[in-house]
Amino acid sequence: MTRNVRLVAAASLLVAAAVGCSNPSETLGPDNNVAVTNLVGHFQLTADNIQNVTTRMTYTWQNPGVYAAIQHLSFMPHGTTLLIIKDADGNQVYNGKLLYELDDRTLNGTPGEWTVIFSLDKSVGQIDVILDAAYPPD
Amino acid sequence: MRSAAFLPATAIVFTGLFACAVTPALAQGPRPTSSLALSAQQLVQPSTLPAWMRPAGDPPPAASGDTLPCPDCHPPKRFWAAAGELMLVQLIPHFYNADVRDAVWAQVSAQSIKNNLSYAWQWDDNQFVNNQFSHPYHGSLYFNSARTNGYDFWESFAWPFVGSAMWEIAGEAWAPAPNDFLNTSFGGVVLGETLFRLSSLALDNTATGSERTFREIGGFILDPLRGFNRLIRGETHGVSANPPDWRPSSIFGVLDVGYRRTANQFSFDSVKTGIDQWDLGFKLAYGDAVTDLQGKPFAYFGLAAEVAGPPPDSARRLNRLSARGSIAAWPLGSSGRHQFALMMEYDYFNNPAIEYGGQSVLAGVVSTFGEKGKNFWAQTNVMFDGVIIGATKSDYYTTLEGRDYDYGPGLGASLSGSLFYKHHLQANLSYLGIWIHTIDGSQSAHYQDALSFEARYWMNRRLGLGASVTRYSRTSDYTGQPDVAQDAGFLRAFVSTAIPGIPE
Repeated sequence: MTRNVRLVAAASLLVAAAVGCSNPSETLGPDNNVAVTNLVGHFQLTADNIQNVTTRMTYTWQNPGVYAAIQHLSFMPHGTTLLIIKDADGNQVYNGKLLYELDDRTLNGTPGEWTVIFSLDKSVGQIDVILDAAYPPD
Repeated sequence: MRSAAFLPATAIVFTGLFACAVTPALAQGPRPTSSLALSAQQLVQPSTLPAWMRPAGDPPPAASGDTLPCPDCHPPKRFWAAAGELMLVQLIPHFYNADVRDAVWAQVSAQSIKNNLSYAWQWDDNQFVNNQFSHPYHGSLYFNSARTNGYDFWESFAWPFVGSAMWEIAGEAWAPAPNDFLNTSFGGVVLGETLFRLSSLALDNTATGSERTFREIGGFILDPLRGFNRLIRGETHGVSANPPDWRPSSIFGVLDVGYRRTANQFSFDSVKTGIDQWDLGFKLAYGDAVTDLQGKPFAYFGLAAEVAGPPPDSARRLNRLSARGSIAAWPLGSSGRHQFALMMEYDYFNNPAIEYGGQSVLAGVVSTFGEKGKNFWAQTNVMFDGVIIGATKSDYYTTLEGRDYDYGPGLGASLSGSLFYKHHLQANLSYLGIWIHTIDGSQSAHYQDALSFEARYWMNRRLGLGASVTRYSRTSDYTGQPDVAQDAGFLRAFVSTAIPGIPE
């Protein structure tokens, strides 16, 4: 192994140690500015500065509607961040990634006390999700 | 790059512009020695071409007695200009999205770069046209940042790889995507060299006046970075010689205008109904498909483009864009009629029945029979197709972002034969079969094949009538989901124009 090759190898190890091998998972804290608006028929959660977070957040939400309209305004470029929603009977009506500037909807479910779960696994980015009660057209 | 929706229009411009810019270059009447006119006989007999039109390898004009200077014959390598333009091509979309659109994904920081270097790459879920057309086109700009600054094909080869890696890591905050990188880099090389050579065909350093203006505009649209460089270096005016490799040893383009019916099955009954569309197709054989294979990369390339309408949606106006260029070849036997060739290919199919895009490397035997311009001439290709990355329509993998296709490498075969008979009858028979093993999307493997027969009757050198029939089938084997078999048929009838004319 030549001197140059050894130098390149050593530099590569240093770079790897600096950027690739030091990712301890953290939980959400004050720096993440978590804000929840939880009203009957309307739910919003925002959080930012998320850096390598693994956690699970569960909320109870009163949904008088048959389904929920979802506004995805999050930006989660790394890790896996899922939104899971269950209706009043505990049936899962939604399970999907948090997305950027897209609208979606849940399956139809039983109105009442719905469960909203955010599952973060080594997630990076910012969360902004809005749920609104919705009714099928007549 | 997630927001390059403006780029699809380029493909449409591309076909139309080529016809505008190149037709006069190749189809005009006789001109003085420095003119662009190429008769059909000249096209097939390179030795008869004016000195500056002779194919690469011939002495440059200055050496053959032409008194015009030829600054483009041996352009200096301008590394810093190339690097600056590579950055420009990245910074313009970056700043537009970061500052004008205020897109959060364009807010690049030291942390976002560190994240992109630390975390795993992720396949992205953008629409087919974005990933399979816009990214390769952007890669062609990276390629041409070097190609138009004095670097040859191989010296420019790495630039789209470097440019794409830079963008994926430091141009946006999204996780780097392997599909974006592969499509941008490999597709960028193929489209980049194709567009560079097409722009050479449009340009003419000996032209003056309005013709020169139109040629420069045509060259600019085909290769914007080259047009930019010519503009700032004062090369858009003034008379000088054209480098010999600006013109191929031969060229044959066909523009088809007609009607297409797409049926969701291939049978006599099913084609009675289907989607009816107008159809505009363009095919180009640049260089000689046999003798130029051993020349510089892309001394021979084939190009096919197709637009049809009314489109089911705006993303499907461009139905096809394929480019296949020669890389290297070795003669088989002593007859000179058979060669083992290596080629690179870019494919984009997006019509009512087929959604497939990919980057490929091909290897196989190219043969010719008879004599071009004589009563009988034929050419065959028997190629093995190694798909570096292929995007195939998926029946189960669909995302809100608009992705409805699977990604994976694959293998295939491309067989084709072309025949010219007595200057009037042209027939092409081709088969393409591809197996794609999905590595992102649904758990699946896709088998696709297309068998096509096309015939034209040339009433004279320029005008012909033709028809084609294509059978396409896809069998997709899914894990955990029912398998799907799809069948489709295409019927086309068209009026053809040869550019500059059929070989005589």
